[in-house]
Amino acid sequence: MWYTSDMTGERLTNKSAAKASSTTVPTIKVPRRAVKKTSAHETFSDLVFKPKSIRFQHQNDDEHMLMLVREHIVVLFSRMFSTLLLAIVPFIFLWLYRFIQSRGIAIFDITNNWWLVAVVLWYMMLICTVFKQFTDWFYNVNIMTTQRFIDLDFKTLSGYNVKETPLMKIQDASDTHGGPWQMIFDMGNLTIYTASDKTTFQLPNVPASSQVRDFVMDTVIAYTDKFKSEDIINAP
Amino acid sequence: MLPELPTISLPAINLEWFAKALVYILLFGFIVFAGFMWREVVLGSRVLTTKATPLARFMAGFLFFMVLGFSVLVVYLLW
Repeated sequence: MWYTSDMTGERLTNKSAAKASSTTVPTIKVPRRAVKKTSAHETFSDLVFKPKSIRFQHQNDDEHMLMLVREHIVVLFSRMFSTLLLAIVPFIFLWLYRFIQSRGIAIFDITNNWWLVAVVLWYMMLICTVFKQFTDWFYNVNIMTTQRFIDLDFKTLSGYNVKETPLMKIQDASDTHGGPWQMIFDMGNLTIYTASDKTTFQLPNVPASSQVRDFVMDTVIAYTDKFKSEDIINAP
Repeated sequence: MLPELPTISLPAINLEWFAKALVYILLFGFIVFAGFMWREVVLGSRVLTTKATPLARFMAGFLFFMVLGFSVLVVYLLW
């Protein structure tokens, strides 16, 4: 089921379609998944259409955000879970140490202070890693606006890079699903090709990737038509 | 006849000293890492402004000072 881009949940009737077509902004269909989102969920969501509470640096006054997409939240949870599993390592090590000592084999002797130091260092590393995984997920976003497509890549120790292309230069989009997890959680790897040979946008583990691909191409077609018609109107 | 090889005598390694040095290097690494993460959050929240921006900045700062505090604790324990 598809809804209009105003996200009110209203079905696309003849009346609303006529109203939408009379405005200057092209009407783009938004997947139903987006309609369920409220502004409270926008911040930590992996896929948001037309977010109201999010802005990005150097956003033009006449530019509106149409879509913000991150990696699927399951990917973040799986990374965090595997890191948090390591929290039991000190207990396993302690058990092994006591087991070896109970057998009368004294390989090394560890004082209480060293135990405490090791445990503090270990948990500090885990907390830092979990926080890094979250920030990496949170700030690695792809944004589609009414004018361009932007890819923000943050790397903790090596800065960040921002890649963008105007909507008119987007030519193709393809999504691939590989592996059982992507099939189960409905995510895929999206690739967006531009007119430039060197610039492609790789979006791994995108939630509802086929809907996102469809949305991207619908938007590109709608806005390319709009730009073309404006050029014809404004031509001398 | 082969010449006699010189005898190399290795200095006795103090394991405790070695372990302490390793821990201090690790602590320095953690502090730098937490600082860079704080920086990433500050830069990130400039590039992408959301409702969670103040919370994210607070959490990153908190993490940095937590790492700093634990580092002081570890140094105290090993002193």
